[in-house]
Amino acid sequence: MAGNEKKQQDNGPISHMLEVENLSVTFKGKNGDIPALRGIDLHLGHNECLAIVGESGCGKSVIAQAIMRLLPEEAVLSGRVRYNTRDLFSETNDTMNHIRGKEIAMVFQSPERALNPVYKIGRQLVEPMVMHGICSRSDAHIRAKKMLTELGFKDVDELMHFYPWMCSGGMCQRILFSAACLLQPKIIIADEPTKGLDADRISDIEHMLNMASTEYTGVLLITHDLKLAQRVAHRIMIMYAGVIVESGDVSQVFSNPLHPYTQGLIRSMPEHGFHPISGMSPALSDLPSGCVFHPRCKHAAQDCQSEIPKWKERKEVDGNAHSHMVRCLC
Amino acid sequence: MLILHADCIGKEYRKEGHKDLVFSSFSVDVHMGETVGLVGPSGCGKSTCARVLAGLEKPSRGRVLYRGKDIHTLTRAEWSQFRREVQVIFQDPVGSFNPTQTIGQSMTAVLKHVHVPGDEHENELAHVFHHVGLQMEILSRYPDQISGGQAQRAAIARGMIMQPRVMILDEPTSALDVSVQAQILHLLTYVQKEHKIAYVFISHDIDVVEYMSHTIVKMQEISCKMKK
Repeated sequence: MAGNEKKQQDNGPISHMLEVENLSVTFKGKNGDIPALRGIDLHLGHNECLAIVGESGCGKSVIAQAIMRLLPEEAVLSGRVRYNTRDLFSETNDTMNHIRGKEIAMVFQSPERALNPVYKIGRQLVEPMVMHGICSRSDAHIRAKKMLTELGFKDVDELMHFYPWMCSGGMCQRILFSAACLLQPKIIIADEPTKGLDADRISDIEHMLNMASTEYTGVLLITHDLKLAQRVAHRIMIMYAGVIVESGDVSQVFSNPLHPYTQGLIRSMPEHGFHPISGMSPALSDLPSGCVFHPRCKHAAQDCQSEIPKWKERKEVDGNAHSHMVRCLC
Repeated sequence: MLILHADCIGKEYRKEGHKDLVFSSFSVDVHMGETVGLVGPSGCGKSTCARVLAGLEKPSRGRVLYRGKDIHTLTRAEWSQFRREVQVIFQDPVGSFNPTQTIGQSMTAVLKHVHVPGDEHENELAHVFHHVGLQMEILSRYPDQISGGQAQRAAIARGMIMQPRVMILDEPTSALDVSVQAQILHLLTYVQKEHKIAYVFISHDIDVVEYMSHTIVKMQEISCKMKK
């Protein structure tokens, strides 16, 4: 399996570029509070790809927006986000403007909407490089065209004069990815980069994610596509209703899923016969008590209804460097 | 029993003085209670083909036959029967509902269309919703207040009110999560078994099509056909 063949560069002792500690986000609404994230812990190292996988509405994208400090005012945040030695929650807006794009770049979902419809592609690739003082405008043009050529575009000169609406969804996604890579950021956060794309375009995006994590930087991949995560990521975190329920190396999690939700997701995949998980994800405004997954869990016991599971570590027999963690009482 | 048949259909659009061919020489047989899978890369004309089969667009060449009759020569009464009996489910479940109406209002409009008396609306909806695994509480919600999976179930329920014989499913699970996709595929299989509805199942995902279909048709630049 590709997951086992993926290699990270050896950087000596483990150093985390990005660390999220006990992150919680609550949206204040007219009809009460909505706890979108609860107690999220994660870290991302150099040349590492970490996938956060979960169903729509589980809060994956909120993690990305919290890291980038892009959440609206009604969001109440607690916890800590550390980028190298900086605490991002206590940085000024000016510093954040510098960090966004140059240090941590984000590839948003819905590329057609993320690109400005009234600016040509060339301008949207060149402008950020000039703004962040990476190079001169003429150099930026050369770099942009080189990047587009590397990504398999043919008529690059013509493409630079296109507007986003003249490009397909797959083209827009690759252009958006190029815009992020051109700034040579230390971290790329890719939010659902393959949503709505067909198989050929997904393999283009996969190639770009692999390129990004080996050549440039750390990649935080947010996706609901389990197969993509399996092929591209080194580590994976499974998220359900605002909580991370399982975390480990991709090969460990797929070969030996510990949480009943992860097991259910894997059983829903085509190669395992499309067996659905019974019931539906809870609304974040009306979460069940105890373990959030217990109403849909086949193994749920009395304790699961009242007790919030803590992290348990499972030692792998093959002596893998990374730990395999699960939040389940079973 | 053959219910829907496309006979060498092709579709082209006129664009800036020249003809833009979407697909050509495409033939398919759809039998009662069976699923025909339609696969192919994006841009090969799958969705256009679905619209032609559903009678939403006229083919540039060839004929679409429903119960043996060319759908574009049907009488007014036959045409409205065809439109009732051949339903389409689209990829974007939320977008296929009117955003200014509640799900209940959208459902009631369909019930009125098939002349179900007002006092039977609730019973009828309860019956169909039970069938597709939906709670009645979503009737008061607007499309953007329900999940993608709920919206797709509601779209299937709305289609079923018309008691269709054929459902054309255009990428019905592409916008859904993997576990919701599995739920919808199981629901569609169950509905087909219960009501002997024929499906034309369009997807770019070969795994999904193989799971659902009795026969698979691959669309490429030149249409070709293969039996599963």
